[in-house]
Amino acid sequence: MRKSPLFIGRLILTAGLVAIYVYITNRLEYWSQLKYVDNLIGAAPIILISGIVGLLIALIWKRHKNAATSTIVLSILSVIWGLLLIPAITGNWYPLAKIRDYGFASPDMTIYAPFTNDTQVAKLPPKASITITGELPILDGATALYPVYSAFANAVYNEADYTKDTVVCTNTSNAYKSIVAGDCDIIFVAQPSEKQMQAAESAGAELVFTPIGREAFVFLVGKSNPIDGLSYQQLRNIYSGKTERWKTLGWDDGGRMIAFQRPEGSGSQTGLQGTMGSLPIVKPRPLPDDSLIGTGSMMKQVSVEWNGVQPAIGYSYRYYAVTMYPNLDAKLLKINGVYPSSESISNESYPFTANFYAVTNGQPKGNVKLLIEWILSDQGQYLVEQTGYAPMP
Amino acid sequence: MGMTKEVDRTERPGRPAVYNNKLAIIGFALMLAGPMILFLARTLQNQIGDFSEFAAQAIMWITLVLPGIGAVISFVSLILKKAGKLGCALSIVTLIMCNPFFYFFYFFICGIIGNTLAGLSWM
Repeated sequence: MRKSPLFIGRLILTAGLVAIYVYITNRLEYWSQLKYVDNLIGAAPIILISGIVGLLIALIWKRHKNAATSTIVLSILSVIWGLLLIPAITGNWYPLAKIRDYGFASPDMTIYAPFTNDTQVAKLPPKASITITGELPILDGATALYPVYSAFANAVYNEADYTKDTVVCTNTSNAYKSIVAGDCDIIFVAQPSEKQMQAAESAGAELVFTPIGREAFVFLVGKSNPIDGLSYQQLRNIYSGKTERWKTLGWDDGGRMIAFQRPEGSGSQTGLQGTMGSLPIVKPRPLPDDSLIGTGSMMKQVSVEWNGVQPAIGYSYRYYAVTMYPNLDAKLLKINGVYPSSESISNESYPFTANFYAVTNGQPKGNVKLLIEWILSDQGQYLVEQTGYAPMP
Repeated sequence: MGMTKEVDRTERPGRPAVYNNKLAIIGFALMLAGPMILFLARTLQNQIGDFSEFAAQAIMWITLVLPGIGAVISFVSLILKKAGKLGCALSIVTLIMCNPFFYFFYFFICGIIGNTLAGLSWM
């Protein structure tokens, strides 16, 4: 029996919809990870997408003599559910809940200041091969990288020309703003976020990234957490909202997980975005009690106790977590069975190693160029290693 | 109000010749108003910084209550049987989106969750 063009058209549209459905759900990693979805919020995207596709297929195959009530209902529902997909994928369902900006917890940065008697920055055994005099490049950067760029200044800057404003540490987010605004000459940071790159481009800045060392991005949990390691896929499930309960990961009494995050633009949040790739990261969920925000510090709050367990998970850079601001009540997690040690970072068997950079606005010139060339020399790389980071291979 | 009335030219027996979609449209609009006010409040919050706790709570309760009122009005509209095709459709959509299970479930969740997200300012 010959099929009518209308039937064939409907069949093609249905096939197209199913193909789109499979593509989106697969891209959001729902098919392979469906059994690890342990909460309603995490399941919302696939429920909505399935609902929308079902509604649209019903619309396609429906008889359309007149604009019947059911047709209008199906159409409006498809649109509304489509709109709801945005908060579903970003996990942003919480009315007016907010990331509080209070508390203060930070390591004592003064011990890493250059040219002080008791500075704890790494030093060269012999004298540096160069001395930078006159107009010294102004340095800024990430908190975790302050010890290393302070060590550079301590080694090669002429002390007589140095002032306290020459080497500052305003954190990753502010350092990017500073280099774009031309307030400093070099910033030492991890990779930029997409928004930071867009902000730089729209301001007409031409950021030049010179990799100067390697660092590991690490995940932490409380010390009493029986889980010592997670797979890369399990981390993706946690931060995409699919997995919310420790039980799913093998800790039966762990209860609901508190997956802490950091603000957009911070170095460690950009690190998390880098590990997740194109898979959307859900917004942090509301805390069971406001007091759990405590000091406001990831390193401190990751060992927080709730209902008799330490249910939190967080992340940081290894040097910061191990040396600069350690928390003895927290532990680093193995990823895919590999612990983030100096060896596993150097041989790149640990999966989350990334370069950190000296960033300039435009091609480096004069003393800025001299300093960056020296940082890439054996002496500069020696300081990178002595500080606790992995040098460039 | 030409927008809210439509003439049913088929004049089926037992149905009014002139329909009134007012209630259905009001119900549907209230359902949309909740999330829209919430979206505006969030935008405002981002622009002017910290809202007062009272203002935040007030907005949250308004945004939660409006869709529920919309659902009740839509239900009344369906019972009165004065709405036309469009009115019926809007009422049904409102009732599907704000059905008691979904609505009270969300209401309950919003009531028990904290005001602070698991985001930390400091490394």
